[in-house]
Amino acid sequence: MLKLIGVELYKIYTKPRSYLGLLAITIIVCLIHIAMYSGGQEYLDFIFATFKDSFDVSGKILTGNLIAFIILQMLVVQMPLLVAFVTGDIISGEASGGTLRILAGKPYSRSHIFFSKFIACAIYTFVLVVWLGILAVVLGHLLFGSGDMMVLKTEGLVVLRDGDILWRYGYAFIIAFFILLLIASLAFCISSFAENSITPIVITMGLIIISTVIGTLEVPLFEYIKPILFTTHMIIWRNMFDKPVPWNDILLSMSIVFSYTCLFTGIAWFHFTRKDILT
Amino acid sequence: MRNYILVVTLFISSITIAQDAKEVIRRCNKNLLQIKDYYCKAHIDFDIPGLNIEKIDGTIYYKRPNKFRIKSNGIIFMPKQNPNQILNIMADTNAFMPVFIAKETVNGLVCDIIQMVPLKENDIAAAKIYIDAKGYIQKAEITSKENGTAMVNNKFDATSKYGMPCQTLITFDIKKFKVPKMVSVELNAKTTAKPTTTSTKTTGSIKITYTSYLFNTKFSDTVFTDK
Repeated sequence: MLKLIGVELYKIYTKPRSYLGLLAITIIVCLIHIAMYSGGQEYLDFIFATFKDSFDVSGKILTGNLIAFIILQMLVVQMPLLVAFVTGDIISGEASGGTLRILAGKPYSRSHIFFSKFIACAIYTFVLVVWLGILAVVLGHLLFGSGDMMVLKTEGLVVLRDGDILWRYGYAFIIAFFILLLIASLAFCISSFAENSITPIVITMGLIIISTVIGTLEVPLFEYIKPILFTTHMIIWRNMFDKPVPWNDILLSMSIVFSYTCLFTGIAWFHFTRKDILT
Repeated sequence: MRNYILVVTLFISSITIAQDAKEVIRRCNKNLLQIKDYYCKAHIDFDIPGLNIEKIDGTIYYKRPNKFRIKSNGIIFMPKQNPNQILNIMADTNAFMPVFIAKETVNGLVCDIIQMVPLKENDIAAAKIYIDAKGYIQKAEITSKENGTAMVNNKFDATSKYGMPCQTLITFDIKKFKVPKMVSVELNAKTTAKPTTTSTKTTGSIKITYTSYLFNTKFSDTVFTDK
């Protein structure tokens, strides 16, 4: 099994598209850092204008903690796409390339092949999240320094003290990893049905966009659907920056995320272990 | 003849009242005008609807006539009507006319209530100051054109010097905050069962506890400008 995982990781390592995600994250995050470094104060003055009308706000606002939070918010839409680029290709790419039949002919069970691919996808997703963490939090702290963090919410503002933030990022990145693993499992599931690598990526992104639009519209009909949409739970990492942390909401959302991950992976496994591999 | 006597009586009594008010202000300023500068440790507790912020420690710096700063390692929200405003109002005798209103008991002490009426164009529309027999400001109500009314309640202890309190509770009007979803980037946020910051309250309060006052040390002005 470990050997199979190693092989799958090597395949990811040798494919140029695997680096697209890392490159895209690097470019986006660096651009945000540069933009914030040059004109971040004006941006924040606009964002926090409601509060500055009523209060004299003193203290350092433009901190590495806040910049990392802004980056995470901005990458909510992009990260699933970057994950789907690789995970959507992992089975269907081999099917279209004709190597899946060769792999299936090796003395390994279909389940072993399936789960080695899935674990390789999970490792890739983990690497993306860690890279994002390094660029957003570590580079953010190096450029802007540490300090308190203001989290803007529709109902007001939460100010977190400097010493009370890093552990929240730790949990937020763990949550983000499991959310992206859900996206990976969705792309992986579609990939097991598809015969080319573009279809899973397009369908995955399409589903995310449709779900996000439904979640955004405040129409009574959609209120019943919202709790079961996986996109509703994709931004649950944000709740780590509430005070107090709504652990029950987070656990509920995470259980829904796990359920979807298991469902998509289960469907993919069921199909993959039974399908006729002709190419 | 009767009307004439009434007018004269009113005129004389108004002069007497004005003199009484000025006397009370002099009593208060006798303490405050001894302060050229001060700094002290401050512990600040916040209770502001729509704003979830923890208490913080800092250092307050003041220098006559109107330099004021709270320096700390974190973010602090202070109402536009900060405690320094009272010192400015009291010090600027040309900008405000004191009018004696009544006597009232505040914190167990009989206080003279002085209404400070602005004589010049000023953001402060009115200020009501409650001054005790020692000349300490026990309470103040400051109404500004831009930011509504702020109530300041002071507490003093045996160590209080020059009329500076050991604790101040500022209660102030605030506008209800509502941030658009597009700005807060909570596009499809799940509404939590117990919102952490929502409230119907329209007044907030900040409690400042002062310790380790140091007066007239002639510290550098750079504390008001450095980052």
